[in-house]
Amino acid sequence: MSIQITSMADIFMILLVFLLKSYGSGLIEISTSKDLTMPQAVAESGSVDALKVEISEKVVLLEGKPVAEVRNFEFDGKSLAGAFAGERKRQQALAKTDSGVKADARVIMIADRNIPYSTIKSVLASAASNGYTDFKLAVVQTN
Amino acid sequence: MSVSEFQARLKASSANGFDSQDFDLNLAPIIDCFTVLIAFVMISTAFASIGILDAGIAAGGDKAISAAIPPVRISVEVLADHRFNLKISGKENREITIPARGDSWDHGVLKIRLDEIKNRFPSVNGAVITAVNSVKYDSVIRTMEQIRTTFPAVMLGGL
Repeated sequence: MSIQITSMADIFMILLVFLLKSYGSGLIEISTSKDLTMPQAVAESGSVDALKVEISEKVVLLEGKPVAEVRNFEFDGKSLAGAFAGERKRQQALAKTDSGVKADARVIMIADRNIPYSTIKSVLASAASNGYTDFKLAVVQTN
Repeated sequence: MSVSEFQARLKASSANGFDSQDFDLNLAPIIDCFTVLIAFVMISTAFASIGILDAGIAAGGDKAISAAIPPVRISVEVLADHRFNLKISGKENREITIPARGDSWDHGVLKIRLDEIKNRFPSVNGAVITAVNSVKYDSVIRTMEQIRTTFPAVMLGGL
């Protein structure tokens, strides 16, 4: 006696199609730290590629690289401003060499929901003083 | 092998039923592949989708915007004691305080007040949100989400 596995293959096929469909649906590639919980909101999903700033309860990351340590929701503003300035210079140098590239003013901010607004404000002010004035706040979609 | 030998072998195999169209496809290796693929895709799929809230900064940017000046400027301040302070300046100048609803901010009343302003000044599309330092980011986002339903262009103020 042999087991009929044709129906099982059908189920697996449907599962695989469903998973592959949802695999490619995320237009924004964001990988966050384990201890970071993003706020939830009704928001549009769109393809955005910009400088990523992550603020968790322990560290501020710029493009995945730690740039400032957070203690009691306070951090060294100079090191963050330096990192923003470095990134801006790099973008501007790239824009000079390649006419197709423009220095982008967009920043995607990924922050923990429990961070006080004072910390967020400091990071955003630092970004704005270096030419990053178009903020995109990353949230977990509820719609 | 001669032709006669081949025909003899063919006859023998037909007699054993080897040329029958009724056979079972071996699905076991396909199932194995599917199991591995499903496990891999399930691990690497992010089921929570990320959304983006647009937020410029009030009075930010290196270029002047040549848009028409709105009749009123609206500013929503999120206070630590779960109150909202709604400021209207321009053609009309007034301040509205929205009291707390228990231990949380009253987003329902805020929405009603904002809708009233929108009805009076339909050309206004933007508002500025500010918050006191101790207010959590989550509360700012929730208020922003509420304001966006009436005024789509929400900017961050107080930087």
